[in-house]
Amino acid sequence: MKKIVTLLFVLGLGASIWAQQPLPGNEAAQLEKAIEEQAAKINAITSNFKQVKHVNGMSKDLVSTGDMMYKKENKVVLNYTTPIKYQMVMNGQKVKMVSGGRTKVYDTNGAGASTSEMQKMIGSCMTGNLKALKKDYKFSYYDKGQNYLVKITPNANKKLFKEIEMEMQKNDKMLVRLRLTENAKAGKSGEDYTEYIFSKTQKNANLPDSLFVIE
Amino acid sequence: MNKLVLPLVLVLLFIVSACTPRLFRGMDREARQTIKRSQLYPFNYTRGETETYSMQLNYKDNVINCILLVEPEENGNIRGVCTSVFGSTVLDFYLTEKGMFIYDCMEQLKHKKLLRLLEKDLMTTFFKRFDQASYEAKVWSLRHKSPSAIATEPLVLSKGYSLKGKMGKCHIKTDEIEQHVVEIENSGKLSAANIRFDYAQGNPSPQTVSINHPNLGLSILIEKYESETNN
Repeated sequence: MKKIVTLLFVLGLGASIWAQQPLPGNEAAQLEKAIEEQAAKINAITSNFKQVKHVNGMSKDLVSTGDMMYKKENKVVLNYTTPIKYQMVMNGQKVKMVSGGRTKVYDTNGAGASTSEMQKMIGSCMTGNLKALKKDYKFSYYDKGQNYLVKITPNANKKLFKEIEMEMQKNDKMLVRLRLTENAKAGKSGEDYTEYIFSKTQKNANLPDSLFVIE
Repeated sequence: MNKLVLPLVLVLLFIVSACTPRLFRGMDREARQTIKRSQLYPFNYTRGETETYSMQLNYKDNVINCILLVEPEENGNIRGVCTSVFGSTVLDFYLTEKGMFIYDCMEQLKHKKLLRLLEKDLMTTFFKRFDQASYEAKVWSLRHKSPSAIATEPLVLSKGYSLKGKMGKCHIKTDEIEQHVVEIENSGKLSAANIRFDYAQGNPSPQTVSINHPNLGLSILIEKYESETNN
């Protein structure tokens, strides 16, 4: 019996190690190149998403759902449908928010670092345009069974996030999961994160510019 | 002339002290009553249950929309977090008997006076255990005038309590039929607030909380909704 338990433990340990295996240098470089080649071919993306906000110390997570549209360069629409209806349109440096019949337009230059960094992050991660992030972040690549996992950590401490995890399908390098882990807070154990799970993703859908117009 | 000053002051003092607060207009003054402040709270929670609310802060032309999660703990303290729709943290807080402890908050809220104000609003609204002391309250009541209705409905329809608790002077109005707190007025220069609680039928806790700070032009609307949550 002890042998069986030991064997199961070893197999389980092995599986968990294999579940997230760092890619050797040459494979990581190949993957990075493949992601960038894929990014160059993408002009537009549509996808459904589920957003999970986890706050350490709270027993439940907050789950929101909606759909997303992205078009090169820097055009993003996030339509939240549950739990509340909310729309955010980002076009270049302009941002429009629509909620409860009220519309607010502002410039990200005056909105603080968080909005513009979020915009850069979503655009870069959705398309796989990692080049845009290379200046401020370092990358490590992992094999995770059917998917690749890319862990992105900021070079400077003052960044919005402590770590970003991108999980993408091996066959087409499309993003299926994005986790943004926030920096640790004083007096609080554990970390908070926001996770996006993407589904029904379509590449190069025909998205008219009118969808991203901000007036 | 000097003989007139003292009676005049006494009359004025009597008039001022006898003034009925705006919230209790139309109600009759009753005898003073000793009451626990914690008995006059709007929320009746099930401990360990997470309640989800939408929260909208309106300040002049600015609107901040967020989602508020409130979780009463076994020890009675309240763990709460307010996040933007996109998941970034607006205010991550913990309400205890000592006050509001802030783990994290967005840059725009990092002003001592604003955080004090939010602390008072959140404590008044959500934290029953904060003030468990008993107070001698001035009491007003609204009674049925029609004798025929008295036979079928309670004699007292609504009550008003005026007391000075841990959070300062406040007026609290209750609905005696539904046994709900329906309105609270907190006094203060900048922190003066009027808080209205609206209930859905049969629900012991409010569905909507409207907080209005008339001296600041700030209003906060908190609405309960059921959301999909992960365990």
